[in-house]
Amino acid sequence: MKTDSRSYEPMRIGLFCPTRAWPSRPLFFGVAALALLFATPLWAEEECMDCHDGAEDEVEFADGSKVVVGIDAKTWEASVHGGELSCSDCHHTINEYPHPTKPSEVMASVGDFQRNQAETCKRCHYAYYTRVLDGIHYKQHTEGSTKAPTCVGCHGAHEIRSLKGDPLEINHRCANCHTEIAEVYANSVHGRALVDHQDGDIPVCTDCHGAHDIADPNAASFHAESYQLCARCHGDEERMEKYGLNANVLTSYLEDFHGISNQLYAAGGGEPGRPMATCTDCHGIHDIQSFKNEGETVVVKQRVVEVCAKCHEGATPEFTDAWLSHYTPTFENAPLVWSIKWGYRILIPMIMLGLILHILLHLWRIRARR
Amino acid sequence: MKTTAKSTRIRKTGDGEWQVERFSPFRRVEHILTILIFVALVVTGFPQKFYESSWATGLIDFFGGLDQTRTIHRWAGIAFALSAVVHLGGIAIGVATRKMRLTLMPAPQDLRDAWNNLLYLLGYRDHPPKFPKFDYRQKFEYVGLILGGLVMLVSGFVLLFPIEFASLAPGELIPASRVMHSNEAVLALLVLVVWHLYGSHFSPDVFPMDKSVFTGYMTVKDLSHHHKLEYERLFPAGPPGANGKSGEAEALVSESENPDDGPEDEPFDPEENDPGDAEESETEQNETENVEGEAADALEAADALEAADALEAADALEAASDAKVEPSAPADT
Repeated sequence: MKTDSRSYEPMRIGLFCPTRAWPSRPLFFGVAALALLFATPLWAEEECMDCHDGAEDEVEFADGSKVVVGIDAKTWEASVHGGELSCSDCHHTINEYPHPTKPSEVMASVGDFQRNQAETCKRCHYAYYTRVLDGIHYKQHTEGSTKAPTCVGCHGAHEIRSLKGDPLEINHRCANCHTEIAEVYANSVHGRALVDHQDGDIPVCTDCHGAHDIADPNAASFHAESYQLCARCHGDEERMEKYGLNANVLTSYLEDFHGISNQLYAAGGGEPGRPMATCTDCHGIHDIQSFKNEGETVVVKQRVVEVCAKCHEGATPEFTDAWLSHYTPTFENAPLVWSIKWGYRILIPMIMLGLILHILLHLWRIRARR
Repeated sequence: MKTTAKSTRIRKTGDGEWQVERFSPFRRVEHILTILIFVALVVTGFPQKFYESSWATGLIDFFGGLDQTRTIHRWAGIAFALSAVVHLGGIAIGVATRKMRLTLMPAPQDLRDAWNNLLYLLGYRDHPPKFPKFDYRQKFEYVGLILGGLVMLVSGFVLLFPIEFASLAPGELIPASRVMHSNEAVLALLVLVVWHLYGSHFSPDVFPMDKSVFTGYMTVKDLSHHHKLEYERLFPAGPPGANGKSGEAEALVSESENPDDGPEDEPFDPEENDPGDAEESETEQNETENVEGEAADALEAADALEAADALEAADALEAASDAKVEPSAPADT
């Protein structure tokens, strides 16, 4: 309960402001300076570091896996929690020496131990904890996996630091397990651009998959709604202009049959019975390449035919003309579509105006005759 | 919706009003089916067009999801195609066997009617022109339904079978069909809501509803008001029972007579006005007999004397109101 009382302290300070309650400010600051002089790191009070700093001892779990119990005091101090939390804040069941024995289900494996430790993180990081419960990694845990990461799996334990402004490190952490995909990504248009642009413009793993509530990427809904991930950047005119890209790609997709379908599935139109083409089906997922440098239109065209044929058996190059390649129909690039569109734009108002005038005239005549 | 010229039934209702059959039972069923199919297509099609609206997702949810909505839409479209085949096939057979009078076929006379009616509506004429069985407004809607329906069917089938279609025609026709399908649907619905609802429900002439397409019958009075040419064609010797012979109907159909030309109306040319007229002559004799026979049957049960009295009174009233539409009207207000 020690940590609980600690966490209420700031409120008491706020209610009874010491600078007012104390007889004089010099006295207050004097006492404060003295306190600082004798202040020592929180962990030191607990004397944990006497043994654990740099220790090489290992703890063995029931499944045979081992973990080194030693930590580096300097790394810990430099972490975001260093100086903020004491050892027993997280390891709150260890309060005496020799350490009490942990229950066997906790000690079954490293994974079980770490999942149990996540309950500790939850006490402060409740929102993230609950988000994780919606994620694929937690689902794997519930299905018996001990390899799926818990909090410390991605964030680290004693070396926790903020990854803001370090997109490469984010990818690196995912790559610990997802090695092959990380390599594919590194060779994609995004992966190569990330080397030069680490200002948040280039998507890293978590930008598309999320960090805590990672969705199952094999789910039909993930496929159907994935256009929204691409849309965040590729629908942003300002950002696209910076890289000389066309921000119209999104709207031209969304106005097409596949785009409309996926929007409706995303808006509650149920699970798609069969997948509808989305950005990744033509452009790739982790292996996205720029179409700009493809050069020959013939090559691009052949690629589109292959992509169409995945769902539309017997697709021919003529069939792929149905897709207007992200271009808004104009008189030049799609004269037929353009003329029909404009034909109706003129015809519908004209007909309706004529009919309404006829009706009004009829009503007027009946009135006038009476 | 065309009526065959085999026979034109007339009947007398319980309150002594004469009615003429306007739509055969087949056409009435066809109309109801068209309503059902049209509504099914609209409620499953428009959410796909206005996909960003909340009502669209609500409707799609109601049908159990997008896939189910599309399935319903496609089957309704196939039902519409079948009804179109039956309808157009029926016309083709009717024309081939010369048994059908194409009462809804637009003719140059309709343009003249439209012009004369416009002059009437604007106040330059005292009377509207004499309209045939279906006036130009109804023909416009019918032709719109046929042409629009064909556009919807063709473009719909292109969208349903894009691969097969692309093997026959340029691929650009597929997005073109989509634009066409989407816009034609809006046009069809707007015309229906504005024009059909006005013509059949909200127009003061028929308010609250012209029931003839459901009952199949229109009163002789309404026919003589709104479709004078058809009235004159069916009753060249005056309204049924006008001669007072025990209410025996005098529904004679004659093509040889030229209806009297009103001072404002264009000269009437039967050939021009009714494309099916020429084909009708052989069934004409037959038709007249049928009409007389059926009318007589209908009257058999009624007390002859009473019926005659009632009819005489009704007809006298109708004749008076017919003749004096203009002068009697101001007196009302």
